Amino acid sequence: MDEPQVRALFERLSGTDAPVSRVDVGLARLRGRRRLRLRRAVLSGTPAVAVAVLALSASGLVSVLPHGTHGPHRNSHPVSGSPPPATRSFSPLIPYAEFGWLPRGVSLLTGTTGRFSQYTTAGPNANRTTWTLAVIAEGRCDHSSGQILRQLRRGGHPVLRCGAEPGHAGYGWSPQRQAPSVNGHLAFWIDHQIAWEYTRDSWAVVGQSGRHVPMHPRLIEKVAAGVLFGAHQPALMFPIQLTGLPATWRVDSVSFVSGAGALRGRQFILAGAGLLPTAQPMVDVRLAGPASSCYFYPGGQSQHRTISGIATVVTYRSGGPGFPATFQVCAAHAHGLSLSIATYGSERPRAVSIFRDHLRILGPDPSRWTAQPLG
Amino acid sequence: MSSRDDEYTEYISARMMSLRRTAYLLCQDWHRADDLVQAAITKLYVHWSRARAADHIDAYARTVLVHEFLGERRSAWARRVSLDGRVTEARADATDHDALLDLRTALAAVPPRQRATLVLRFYCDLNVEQTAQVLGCSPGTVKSQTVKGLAALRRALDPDPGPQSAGERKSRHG
Repeated sequence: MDEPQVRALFERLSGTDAPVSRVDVGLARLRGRRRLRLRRAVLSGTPAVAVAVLALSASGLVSVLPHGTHGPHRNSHPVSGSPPPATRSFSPLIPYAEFGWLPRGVSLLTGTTGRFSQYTTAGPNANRTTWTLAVIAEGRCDHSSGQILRQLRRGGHPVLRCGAEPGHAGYGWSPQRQAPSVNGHLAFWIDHQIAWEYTRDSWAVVGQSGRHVPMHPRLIEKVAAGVLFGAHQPALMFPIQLTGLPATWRVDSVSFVSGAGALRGRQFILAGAGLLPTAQPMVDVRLAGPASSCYFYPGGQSQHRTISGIATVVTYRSGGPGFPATFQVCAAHAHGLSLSIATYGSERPRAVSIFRDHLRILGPDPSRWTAQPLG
Repeated sequence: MSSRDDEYTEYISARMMSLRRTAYLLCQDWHRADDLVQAAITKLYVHWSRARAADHIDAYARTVLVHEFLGERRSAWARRVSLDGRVTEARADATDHDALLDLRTALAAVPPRQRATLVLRFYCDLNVEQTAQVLGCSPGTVKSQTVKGLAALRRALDPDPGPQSAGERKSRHG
């Protein structure tokens, strides 16, 4: 394996399958401030008890404050387009946008659907992503296309920041120059990508994937012009269903893969009352094969258990600064599926109870799958 | 919010995807990558004054991230375990998912420090000296870690995982 092959390998691995970010900049600031206070307290000779409280606070063991809204502010600007209608929130269960046109031999591969942003990839095969499409819901980005254009004309270096989910960092793009308009909308080049405000306060970014590929501007413009908006794709299908969970819980984001005529959800994150953004349960479900295996991070408490007749490994990992306590249940072979359920931030083995009491396995046969992962 | 916080938030927002991807290549798990980035940007906040005074904030942030990764790998709980012990030499399956899984598995088979060296050299496009700075070692060590890392990756991606001794494998790869 030589250097170009390694570069290609890294591009391939890093360019696919990214779920919606769980990184919380607000939480980092909060914990960072606590650590700074702790350092200052130690340096200034604050009594030991007070320092101990600060230390617990900095490590996250003492109450974590509610997350503020870290999303970018909205800027109003004249409406420049007509359909599709602006939408402030997507359904994570139905992709909102799709590649309407792709070069010959290229097809949809994977995607991630969230409430405020969606990301899809396409390529000639699963090992090679050559196109990506990101779509942001209305009001999640901090600039209008007119503002970006004015900054560029003044010689500025605008950054388009779009918040993916409340309290999460989202995307940051640096438009470099104006591009040919996309279906009448102002557009901008960002390296090998083109960004445009597809409807009021709503952005899309599409382009070639990878930094070491030759750029084909005309092709990119054509792919951009073909993007379709409005949740016209079929709903995602799931080979499992979770039933009887708290009524306030909902699917927050889904990572899916295209194949066999369906868009199969293979990982989803739950949100709802009592679930902090950094402690949302995550369910990973794949079609089992002979090489299926589980990965986990043993935290000193990992044991084989049979749950509902299925061989699993239950792992508990204690929390620490920057990461919450974790319970994970993993089953490499569960009636044709490979399953993992992880819950965070709680000392209760919630993942075990979800697996035992709420999991309904539908199996690998697509005719049995459901569009409602929460029953 | 203070201007310090504004500046920090703006920087992190702009670099988030790059940090996440680098972290993902280091640990091959998006969830874990987010944890790594979360821990790294918390440290970056604490040391923000020093970071923005540095010649390149990106280099500083990358260094924090890589150190976080290597520090974490040294702790016992982070060791990855395969439940059935048949992962590292698995042949690529016909399914898309398994092919990607094989690539991830191959990268996971490269020892952490060598993996970090490869990621810095071939994904972050750092030269030998810059990589040495991030890792806190000599350029010579970076070169040897690169060679060893490439060899490990090559072994893990070996398309013929038939039974063979370590000696046979070594001689076949020269």
